[in-house]
Amino acid sequence: MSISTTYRREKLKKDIHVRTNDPDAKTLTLSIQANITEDLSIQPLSINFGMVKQGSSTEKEIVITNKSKNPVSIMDIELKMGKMLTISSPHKFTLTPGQTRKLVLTLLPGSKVGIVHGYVVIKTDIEYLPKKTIRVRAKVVADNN
Amino acid sequence: MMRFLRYFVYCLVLFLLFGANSACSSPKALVEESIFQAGDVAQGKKITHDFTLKNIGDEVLTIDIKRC
Repeated sequence: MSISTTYRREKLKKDIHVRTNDPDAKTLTLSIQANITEDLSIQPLSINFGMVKQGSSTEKEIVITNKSKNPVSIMDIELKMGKMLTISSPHKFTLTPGQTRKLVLTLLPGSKVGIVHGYVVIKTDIEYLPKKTIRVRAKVVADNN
Repeated sequence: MMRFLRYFVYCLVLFLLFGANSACSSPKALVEESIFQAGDVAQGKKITHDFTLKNIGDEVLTIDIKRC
């Protein structure tokens, strides 16, 4: 039995149920339990800019913390939301153990109104955690002024 | 009386040979460890564990795994 922990946090409990023809044990439950620790903490993992007027810009903060005992390098930050997103940071930097870095994510929507969504993909040099993804969402509304 | 006793013993032998055997035979599932505590695991690492399921009965054990 294998479990991916990429999108898991804190307490993990995964059960599988095994049905048998044993009259005394028709269903057996096998369980894996773990406490998932984060070597690289990224907060938040979901950003909703809410309602944003077309042509105006809005900012949100992202906090990245190296919680491991080794340096962690951010290899790249990909912004997947057309050209509406920018970030106030070089796309490549290293965090020493315990170090925190704040990034400012700016949304500058175009003229199209409606719901827009995308991702910020933070690529790392951690072998077992090559990337972490932040979901981004906004509702672009018409500027009637 | 002897005839009845002989008949009773005959039936008893038949029951012990076939009846009792068929009543007791069944598969019997045994899981030595049904909960695996992986402890602290760094996010991103895969948790893998082999559960051992034994059939200690005397009939074929069939299993059907349902993931939740």
